[in-house]
Amino acid sequence: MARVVLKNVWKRFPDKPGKPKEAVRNVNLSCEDKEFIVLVGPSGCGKSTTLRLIAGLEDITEGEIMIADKLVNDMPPKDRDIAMVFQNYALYPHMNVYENMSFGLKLKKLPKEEIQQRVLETADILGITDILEKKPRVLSGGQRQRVAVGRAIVRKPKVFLFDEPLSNLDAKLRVQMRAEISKLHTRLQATMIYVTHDQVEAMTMGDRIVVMKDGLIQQIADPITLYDQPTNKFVAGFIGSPAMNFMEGSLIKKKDAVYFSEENFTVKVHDDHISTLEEYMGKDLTLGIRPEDIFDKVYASNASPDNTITATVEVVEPMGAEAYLYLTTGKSPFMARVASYEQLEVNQDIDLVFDMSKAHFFDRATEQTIV
Amino acid sequence: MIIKINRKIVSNIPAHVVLIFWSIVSVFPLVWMFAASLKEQNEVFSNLSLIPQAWKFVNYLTAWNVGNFGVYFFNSLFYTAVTLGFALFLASMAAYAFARFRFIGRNIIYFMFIGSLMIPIPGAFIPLYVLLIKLGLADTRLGLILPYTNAALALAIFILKTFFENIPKEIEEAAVVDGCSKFDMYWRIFLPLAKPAMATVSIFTVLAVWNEFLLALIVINNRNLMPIQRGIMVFQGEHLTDYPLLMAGLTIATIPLLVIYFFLSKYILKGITAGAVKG
Repeated sequence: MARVVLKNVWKRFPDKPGKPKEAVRNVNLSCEDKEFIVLVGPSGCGKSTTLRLIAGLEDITEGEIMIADKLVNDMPPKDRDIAMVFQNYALYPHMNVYENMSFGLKLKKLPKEEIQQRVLETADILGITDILEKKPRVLSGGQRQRVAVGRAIVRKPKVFLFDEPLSNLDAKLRVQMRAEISKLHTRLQATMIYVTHDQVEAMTMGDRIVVMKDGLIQQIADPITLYDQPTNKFVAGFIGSPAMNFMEGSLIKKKDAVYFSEENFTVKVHDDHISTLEEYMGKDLTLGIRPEDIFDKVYASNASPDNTITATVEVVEPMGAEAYLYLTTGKSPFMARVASYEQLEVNQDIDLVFDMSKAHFFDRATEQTIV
Repeated sequence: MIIKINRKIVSNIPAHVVLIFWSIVSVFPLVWMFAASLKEQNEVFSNLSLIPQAWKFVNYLTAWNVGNFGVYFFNSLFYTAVTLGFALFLASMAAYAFARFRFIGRNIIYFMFIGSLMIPIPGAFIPLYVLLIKLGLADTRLGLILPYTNAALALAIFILKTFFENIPKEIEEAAVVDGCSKFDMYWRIFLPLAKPAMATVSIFTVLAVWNEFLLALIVINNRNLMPIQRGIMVFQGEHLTDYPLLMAGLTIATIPLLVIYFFLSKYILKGITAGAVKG
């Protein structure tokens, strides 16, 4: 049972004298056996450091790390039963692929026949049998990545750690390897912890995703929950592409209904949200709405004056199947995702319908989610 | 296109004239040495032609056996090989520590080594000689090997440390995860990776030790322990300077270096620029 548990883990680096840099702040995380966990966040958010703490490449300042129910705080990496795949592959340049893959097993003093069997088996899984005799420098990026993954697999570790393994690959190969790593996870039934700054990778691969910022965990959830119910404005803006639109305004009451009012438009708040928003009446808050929840009025089925606004098109980005519109209300810039058959021109004013049942509201000061 | 190429050739002519002239000036003494080694004693200065009247290859045999050059040659081989072994072993370990470990006084110790490059070796001869006498090492093989090793260390450490520092940290971390101890890391990762740097260090060390004369002159008096450069001097005094034999001895002394240059000139060039990018 290879659970990985982090309890109140802190990591401080000596930065300037008397002012240590807190790279990881009070991280609590429990990664279940056979789970695929993705740590995601912008650069400098502490995700890689967290992974290196689990690997044992950095010492933790405070807290506890358990792997398979064993406290590993002071255990050297080789005894933690982990394998790590690095961003730049970190293959040994002076060894050929076979030697690279067998190196860890050789250090463990496994019998030669077993080493050979394991390496050949793994090479077969990854489709690299024909390059076993080659040195890393003659391999392509994709092949090197496979070898790096293979080097991890042959060791049959309890936990796989991936540190942005795909960021050095070109876009097409990245998509392909993404699927292959997911397949490997299903096949190997191992615990995997994967670090990336790419939210698409996170969404597509992770059973659960850990969003981090400034050394703090923002939210831990499965991809859909993260997308539909972000805990704060940061998570809402980070997950999803194109990103969620944010508009600042305030709540006002007209007759029996509640409206969100920006300077240049007013939309009616969905009935389900009213009770939660009661205490924010008259106060400043931020409306969040995803580009796919905004529709051209011409094609919208539920258009009404209460959820329709007028905006000016600034840029049209045709993507093939759809088009991204960069718009402005006059005060807030925002984006909409519309079908590509819509013929729109720059500087044209259009009427747009907001699906207010999908809208989010954030506290302006704390940036926490209200709805 | 053709005009362009021609222009390039034309503009290169002055440079090549200078280089060809310089090559002749450099190579001529060697050719003269070789020619003289095959002449008779009375012919050396009378026959100015580079082609001997009688090709006396027997001079080499005489120099090797009678002139004791066989012994000198093997002594030189011995000193060079042992010094090289010591220097590579010690310098690579020290460079690994300097490049990858953090310990108190690391920079001070390192700069002391590098600083020793600034002291010309003859400048240290008197204290060194006194030290060797007190240690009972004067006129022994060890009395030559230890100072040679010491002299070779600074440059070797410098070259290897620079090289080790450029090995990506991730490779080291991958090895740690794979289960490498500190010694495994040195032995299985850093050392094999450092082959080009080791080749450079080897060339510098071999050249320095093989050509060394002054220290051997001071430390060694026993003819059976003399390296070839020192032996040549003895030979010159003893035999009223038999020039053909002397030149045969010099040719023998030169051959190993020519072989090294021939096979390793790539590394010699690299070695000259080693540390130029990051020092």
